[in-house]
Amino acid sequence: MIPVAHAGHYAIWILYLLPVLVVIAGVVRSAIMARRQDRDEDEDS
Amino acid sequence: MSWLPLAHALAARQDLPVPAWLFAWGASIVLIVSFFALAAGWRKPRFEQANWRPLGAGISRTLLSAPAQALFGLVGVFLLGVAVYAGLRGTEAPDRNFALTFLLVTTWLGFPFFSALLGDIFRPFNPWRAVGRAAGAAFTAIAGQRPVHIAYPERLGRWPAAIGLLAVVWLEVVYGASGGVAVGLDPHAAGVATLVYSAYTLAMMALFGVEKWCERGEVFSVYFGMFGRLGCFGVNEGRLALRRPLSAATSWATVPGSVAVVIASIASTSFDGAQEGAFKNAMESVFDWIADAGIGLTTALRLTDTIFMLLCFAGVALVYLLGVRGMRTVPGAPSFAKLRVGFAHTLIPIALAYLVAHYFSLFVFQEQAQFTYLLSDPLGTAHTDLFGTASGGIDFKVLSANAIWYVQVGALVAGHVLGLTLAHDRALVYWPDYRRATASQYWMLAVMVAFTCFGLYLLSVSNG
Repeated sequence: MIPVAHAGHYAIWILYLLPVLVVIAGVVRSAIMARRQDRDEDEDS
Repeated sequence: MSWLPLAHALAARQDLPVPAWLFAWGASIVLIVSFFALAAGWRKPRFEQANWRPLGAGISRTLLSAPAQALFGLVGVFLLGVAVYAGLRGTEAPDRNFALTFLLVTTWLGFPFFSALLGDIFRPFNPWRAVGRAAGAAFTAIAGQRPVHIAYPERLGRWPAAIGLLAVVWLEVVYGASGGVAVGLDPHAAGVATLVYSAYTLAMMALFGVEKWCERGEVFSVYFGMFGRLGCFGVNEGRLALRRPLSAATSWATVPGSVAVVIASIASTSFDGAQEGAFKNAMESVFDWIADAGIGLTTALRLTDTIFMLLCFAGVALVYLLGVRGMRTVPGAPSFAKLRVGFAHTLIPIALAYLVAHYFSLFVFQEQAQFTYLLSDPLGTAHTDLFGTASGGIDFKVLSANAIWYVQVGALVAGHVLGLTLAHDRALVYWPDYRRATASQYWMLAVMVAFTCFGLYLLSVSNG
């Protein structure tokens, strides 16, 4: 199981990447929602 | 012992209550909470005005007087002279020679740390500025007219300083310590490099003028001055004055090349932190590949390090530019170029945070050497004891591994929260509607979280 143990050691960076991915997902989601809201407002007017 | 003073922060295994990666999650939560707190309670720009409050006329007149300025300049010239002499004539043991610790730790780290608190304190002590001004005054006295300079090409901006900054760091961490092995930067090389840089700087000052070159091309003036923009003292209308901390940073990046300077600062620290940790395996692979191509080992080491240092620069630039690109999608956004320049100053606290996180333990340890045996025996010959402290040493117990880690985490979080605050403040200038301003800053939040997690990852791997 040594290779797996090593993989775990090197894959620790994923745990540091996770918060970044969560924030990026939130940003993209809010950007899409804002665009949709702008489009709806344009159509209403 | 051929330990190089500017290897990255001294590492030791900590005994933390939770895994190191959880600190990255915690730091991200702090940033997100700060972001929403700013959105809720900060609806008018505050840093665009410095709110100058003059200090007493007496202290201002004394410190800014010609004799005082000449004295500060003389101190700078004297210390530079001691460092060069020690480098050229002193011991080749890097840890026993005044030159390396003074140039690469006391000066290179000390001025950013204290400038960020106090303002641009390097300017009066800048030895090249002092020599340039003295030469200019002598020329005026002899020739009966002021020296004539050619116009500085404004398009160049601070690019000479940005390239010079990368060159200085390259000399320290690539030429001097390729792959963590000391192969080049001995005290003699540092002394020679300082002389070469002095000749280059004085020639540029003669060409373009002392103050112009200090503002644009002199690496140390530009680099330390950048951190000085965070500090609370400055000169306003010829008088020393207090200003709102961080406020002077808002106008720093308007000169071309400034973005490259601050990115070079973050990238070089990142590279130094990553070369023996996060990038180690990748660098070894590239090194093997280059060495197998028949290139000498030392050249292969330096080439590998150079490639990764440039990749760090490109990576940091890419993250920042992606954040700026994201802001462009918010209605009412200014041009990409304006946003790129307009938010560059928000990276200055991050550059400082990276410096503190990576080097503060080194600074604390090496300054004990600086003010004991290196001061009393600058040449490291063991024959001199100027101040009776030559037998002093470094107390490594003054900081525990856990204390170092907590300072590192604290510095990174504080630096990024300050960066976020500056970015939010600038967004309110470009988007007076605070809702739009907040929407634009989601992207900078992502940038800040990315830099924080990357910084903590580098530190945890280096320490682990």
